[in-house]
Amino acid sequence: MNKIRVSKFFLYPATYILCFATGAIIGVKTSLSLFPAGTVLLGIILFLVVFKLTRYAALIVLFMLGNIYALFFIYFTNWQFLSGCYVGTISSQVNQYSEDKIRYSFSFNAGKAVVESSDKKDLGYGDKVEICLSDEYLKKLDGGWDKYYLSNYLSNRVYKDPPVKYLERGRGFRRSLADFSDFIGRRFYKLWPGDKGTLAKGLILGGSQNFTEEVKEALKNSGTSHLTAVSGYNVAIITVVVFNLMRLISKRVAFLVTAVLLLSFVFLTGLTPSVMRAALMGGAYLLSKMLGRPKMTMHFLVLAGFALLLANPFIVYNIGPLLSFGATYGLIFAGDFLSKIASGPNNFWKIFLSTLGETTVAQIFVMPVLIYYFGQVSILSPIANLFILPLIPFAMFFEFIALVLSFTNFYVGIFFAKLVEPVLSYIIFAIKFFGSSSYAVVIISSVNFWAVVLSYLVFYIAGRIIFRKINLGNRVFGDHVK
Amino acid sequence: MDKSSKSKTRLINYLLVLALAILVAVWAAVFRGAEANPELSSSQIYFLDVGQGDSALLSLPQSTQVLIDAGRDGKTVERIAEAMPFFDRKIEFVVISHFDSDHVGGLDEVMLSYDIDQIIIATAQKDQKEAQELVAKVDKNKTDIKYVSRSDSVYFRAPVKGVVLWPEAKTEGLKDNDLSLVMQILGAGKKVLMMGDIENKGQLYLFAKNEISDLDTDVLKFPHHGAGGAFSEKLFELTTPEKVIISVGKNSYGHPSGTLIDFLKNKIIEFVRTDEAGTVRVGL
Repeated sequence: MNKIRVSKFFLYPATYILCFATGAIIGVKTSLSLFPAGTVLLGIILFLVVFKLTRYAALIVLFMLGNIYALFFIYFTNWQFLSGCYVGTISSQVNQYSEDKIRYSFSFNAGKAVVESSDKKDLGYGDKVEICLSDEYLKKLDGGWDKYYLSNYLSNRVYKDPPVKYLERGRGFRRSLADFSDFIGRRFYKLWPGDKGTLAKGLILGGSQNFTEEVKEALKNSGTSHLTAVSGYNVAIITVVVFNLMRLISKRVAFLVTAVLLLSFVFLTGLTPSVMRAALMGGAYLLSKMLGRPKMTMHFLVLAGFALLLANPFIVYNIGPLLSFGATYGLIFAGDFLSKIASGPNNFWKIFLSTLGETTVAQIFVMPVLIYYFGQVSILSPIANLFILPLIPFAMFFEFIALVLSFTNFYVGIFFAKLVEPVLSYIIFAIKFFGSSSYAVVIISSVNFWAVVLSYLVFYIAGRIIFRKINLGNRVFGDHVK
Repeated sequence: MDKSSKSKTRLINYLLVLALAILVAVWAAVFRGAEANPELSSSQIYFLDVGQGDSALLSLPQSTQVLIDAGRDGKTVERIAEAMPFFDRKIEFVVISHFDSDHVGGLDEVMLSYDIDQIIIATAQKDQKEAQELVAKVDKNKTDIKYVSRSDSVYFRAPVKGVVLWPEAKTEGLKDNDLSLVMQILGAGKKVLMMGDIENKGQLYLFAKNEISDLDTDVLKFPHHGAGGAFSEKLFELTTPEKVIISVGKNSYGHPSGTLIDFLKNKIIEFVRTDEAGTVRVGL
């Protein structure tokens, strides 16, 4: 029996991928010098080959390849520019990151740079510009900021208010989408003026820039900043809710509607990398629901994570993909089990319970990342989230409908928006209520990245034990031993 | 009936109930907005509780709104939403008294949520950096910029108009607060004098350049959040208000000044502070 398990273990492509990914992550995290580590590992490989343990040797080779890949990536993104004026294009969305500053990535033949400017020119994706880069504009980055820029813009050369000359407007599909996405973002504020609009936008597209100071402070104190921090986790949630609601009609309809929704969401938000990553994860969840084989989709999830890591190994520093990966992992890991045990007098009750269960699981699985990223825990956070989270999926779903309706007729959208408004008002009230005391916050100066990894291992092992106890192990892990 | 068709029937029933609830809610809101709420058929002015800053919304019949100053931050748009009909996303006129952050800081958020037909700025402030930044920012296809100076009139919705009492197009020796746009709102019933942040020095010019009858008013928005530097007995002699509004929030400047409050109490002039009363609505 044991033998079968071992050979099965080696059939999983996810195992090999995970080894490569681990190597890449360690490469990014530690910038490990290859020579001493490589010498030791080569010795181990030789040993394993001699004793005909070639599969283990392959795993170590993959680990080393991942490590080399990360180190090459670090080497190639370490741009150094000579002072001078360069002509290039804006290669990211232009984001307003503070009240009077915009930020975007600038690509030109010598590499990539990030520009932060208080000159709020009407710039957009793909615009051709001439920017004069010199060290006097170079921003000094403290703490982990260089990692933040690398994970978002693939460059940690940040220039503050360099001279920018606008040359030509960007064209093409991506630009049109970026403009449309911008338009959508503004539509939220039109439908719900004030904090409610910022919340509505934040839940779907992320961002909390336009909240009043009172709400911003309350978000921090109540431990609910994650609500509008990123879109990845939110995409996972909305996927769950739409799928579960539509399943009342049929599984196939649910799959189609959710898939179309995910795709349109990706396009509506202007093909931004964060949303594409999130949708990929949402896709993994959908696949698990459709196939009903969580262990297979768990491999797809690993593959998706691997693709993201390949595109940009610095992604491990970005909270967005980590949250969506964590949430989706939780959903696939425990979602199937939860929908099985959810029972009630009728289908609606059952679906309500399983939705509640699944979103709670997603919340638990993103908790380590949230603590690691925000470095603080609110004592009231669990209670605040308990009062807020169950409503989030429904708020998101209905505000999305109001948004879509507002494009058919603005006033129809406004009427629908008015109906969603009490939910948004309640959420803001709860945020303010639980965030009114700053004593509720415990600051954690630093959380080790590996502690976060460890917590996921603990989740995995705990889940394995629980599932074995209730004989669901073979569904999730492919165990053949009962 | 099998299990799946049963649940489908139930789904349809739920959807019907939901549709009915939407219908009732929508019509209730429409009736509340159009019939029960007198604000749509008469003129009101709301002195918005925006903290330490200035913002007032003049609401005229047929959903015409005039925003005078935009407060300090996003709080303004919150207050506006409370005072506007829920389906209305257009503010026809925005009057900017001057470009201090506690008067224009919330304008970006207002522009995000509401379309604006026209922004009115004093000609004397045209060359200020903040004015030029604002002009560069607005969408010229949707919003006009109008520059005004003393004795100009702006018709908001006939017969309601705003008459500019100050400043002149060119004014030597004055700056910042003393160049605040001072506007008398006429034709809505009661007269309302909006004074921005104009202080004693600027007020001397204001009194000298205008007839006493132009200055006489019913509701006075006291300048500069009740600052001592904006108070003079002459201001009250000339304007003779029935009601004084002090737009003020928590602050470290000592606003409103004790002298002003004592004076108002002694003269038994009715006054309201937005930090105590919240948003103040005055029917015109």
